[in-house]
Amino acid sequence: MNSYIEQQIWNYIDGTCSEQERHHIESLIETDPIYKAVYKELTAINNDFSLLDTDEPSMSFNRNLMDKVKLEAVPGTLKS
Amino acid sequence: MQNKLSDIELIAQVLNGNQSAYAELVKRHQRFVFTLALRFSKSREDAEEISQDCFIKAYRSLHTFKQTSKFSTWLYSIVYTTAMTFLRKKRIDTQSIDDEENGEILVNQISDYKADIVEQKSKSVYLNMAINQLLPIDATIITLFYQGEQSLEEIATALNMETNTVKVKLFRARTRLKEKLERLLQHEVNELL
Repeated sequence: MNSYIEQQIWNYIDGTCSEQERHHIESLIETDPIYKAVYKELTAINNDFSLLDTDEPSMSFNRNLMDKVKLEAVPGTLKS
Repeated sequence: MQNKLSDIELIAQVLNGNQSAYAELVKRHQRFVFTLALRFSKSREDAEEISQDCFIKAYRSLHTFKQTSKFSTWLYSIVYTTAMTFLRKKRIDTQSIDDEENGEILVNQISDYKADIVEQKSKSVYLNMAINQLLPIDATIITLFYQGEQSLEEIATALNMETNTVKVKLFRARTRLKEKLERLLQHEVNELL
């Protein structure tokens, strides 16, 4: 697959191209079967990437951290 | 009541000596900070250590947060530098994480995977397996962009890079993630994507 086309379409999907480029790519997606196929594939991938999970630290994470924070001075009150 | 406060309001309370406001701020961001740390360390134990260090550093420097960016962007920049320092200390060879020939981990991961789960769950499982095979920086950029909802400019701020560099790296990271995913899914990829 042409990586230049992919880059153009990612820019279109991410909304990082100019208005003029956006119109140009939009018309290519409508008229060019290659652009249309790449667009379809990348939008599906883009949606799938949003399915990535975030991980939970251990249940004691917050308590352990705050035990350490309690030993600290209020931020900005100590001159180093 | 307190969880309705914005990050900025919580920070103001912390700076006035209310440490419980910091506990709330941590609770709000710990899951994502831990995930980012895990992208670097690949070990839960190390990721917890990095996350703890990160939140302590953020606490100590909270008065220096200028509010010119979102608190999360500022916090992620601390995660990045803390994780990089941690990796250097542990002398982890990050290149090996991207070893294309290293199929052993892949085989083990696939054999651990039970195929009889619903399609949406499969996608998520495979994606997380694939992202764990990326270089830490690629995994971090993908995570910040998709899970952290950070713009390219914000990612550039967090990672201390030019926006255009982040844009190029995001493009490469997505391409690599797609390739990893395709390798993982093999013949199933067309059906799942």
